[in-house]
Amino acid sequence: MFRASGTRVCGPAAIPARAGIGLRARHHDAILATPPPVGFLEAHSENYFAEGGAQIEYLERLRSLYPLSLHGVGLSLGSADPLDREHLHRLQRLVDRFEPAFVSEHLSWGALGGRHANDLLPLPYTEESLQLMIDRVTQVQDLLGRRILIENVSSYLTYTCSTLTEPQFLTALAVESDCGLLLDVNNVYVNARNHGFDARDYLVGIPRRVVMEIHLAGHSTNRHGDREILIDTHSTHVCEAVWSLYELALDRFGDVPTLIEWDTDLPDLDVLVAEAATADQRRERLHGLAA
Amino acid sequence: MASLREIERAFLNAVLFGETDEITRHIVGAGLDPRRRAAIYHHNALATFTGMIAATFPVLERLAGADWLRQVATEYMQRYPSRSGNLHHVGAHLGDYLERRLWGTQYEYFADVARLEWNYQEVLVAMERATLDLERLAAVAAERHDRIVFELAPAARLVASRFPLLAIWRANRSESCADMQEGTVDLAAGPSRVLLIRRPDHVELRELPQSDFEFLEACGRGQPLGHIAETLDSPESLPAILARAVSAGVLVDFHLEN
Repeated sequence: MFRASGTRVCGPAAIPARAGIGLRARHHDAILATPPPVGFLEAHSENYFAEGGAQIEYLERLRSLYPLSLHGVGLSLGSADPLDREHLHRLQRLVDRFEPAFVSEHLSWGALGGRHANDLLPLPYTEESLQLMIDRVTQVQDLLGRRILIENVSSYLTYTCSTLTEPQFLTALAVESDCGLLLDVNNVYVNARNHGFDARDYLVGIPRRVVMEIHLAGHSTNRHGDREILIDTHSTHVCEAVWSLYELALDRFGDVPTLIEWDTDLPDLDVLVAEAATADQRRERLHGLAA
Repeated sequence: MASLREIERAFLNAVLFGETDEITRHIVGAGLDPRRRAAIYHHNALATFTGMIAATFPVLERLAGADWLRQVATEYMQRYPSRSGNLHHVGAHLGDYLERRLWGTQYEYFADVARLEWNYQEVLVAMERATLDLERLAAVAAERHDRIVFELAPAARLVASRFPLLAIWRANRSESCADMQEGTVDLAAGPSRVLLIRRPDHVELRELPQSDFEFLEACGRGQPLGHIAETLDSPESLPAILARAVSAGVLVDFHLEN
């Protein structure tokens, strides 16, 4: 069951064995009015960088009800430029204030020369970008004084210069920087379809002990002539193929906390809660009634 | 082999400006033209940016239409690409951009509408401050009143326009078309001086008299009370102006100028 009002939670162990949902402003009032039976809430860090106002007050109230995960989308860890110190310090203040169970960011970049794409752009998987990511993740962990999780992103292209596979890259990053991994199962599926690899091989390429959270989301399909490209839209239900891959991930990585993401074409709260309940049913089928 | 910086520079040009020539040689085609792969990111970036502009400027969108605003946002993104990993900052220059773009047209007032809506967004997320300590203010000796410098609430903004800005905003802000008062605002109705201030559950917008607006603007510039009094058309009105500013909660602190 969700946590009682006023309870403070800190550290990964505080996330119960129950799927969580992504927190969106449109659902703030509905969650507070009737707190749904979900394990935790995950907020986009940048949505709460404000100095004051209603959004930050909502997060205070919601934090008193649920364990929280802070999920960043704007740090641009893989950029060749130095990290944005102001962005980092805002994140640090948010982490200090809300004591989230998880802090996560992406295996991606999004800015160069002060110009931001505000997107999670894929990195070439080379020794140069690996060393840069190791340095950056270490820098962030040192500043925050805690381990962070890095999430695999969806992609619509790969680079000719890549010399490592994504599982090899992520594994080396986790080992060298001691970060955890946030495995987005939908992104694995999307990339497997877009780039023609076997998603099951991808899971086998990730060490069992490093995956600390799983994301699930919906995607859409774009046609380019006779070629299909899957787009990670977070705009619909998790598809059956991703649910199946999720079960394989649970089997390999254990009963790790799972989150339902839904960002565009946002449905009513009960739809998200039902999707989280479906994840719980899959978990319970594999790992028993741990909740 | 190209460096990471070289690849990122080429890719960012494709994402922001649709210039795919340079990045394509670094992309694996695998059954799809590398240009089309890069273009997916350009389209995503445009959709994200224009969506953020539409969400930030709903009154402007209602006035100008979604298609027009999307086109303008696309041009604006080339001129003012995002400078932060936090997308919420991207609308800061839209008012200035529109002023130049629409200069001399019948739509010049769109620039002021954009400025009003941007200030509205800033007020929503500004720092909360305690209200003015009136006992401390009352304890200032009369001979030192001229040296008082007031501080405005972080969650308060002032926007002036030669158009009836507040009336335009009120007539177009509603989500419900039934509440709209289309055609009822006379653009020649005269200037507008608007105070925006965050209340516990909403942002209040109110029209200010010229004297009150100029007083608050001067406070915002850090001018001491004595100097402000000298610039007022009727200095004897200062106590009433000050009382209204305190009552509205616009002033949160003060110090004495040395």
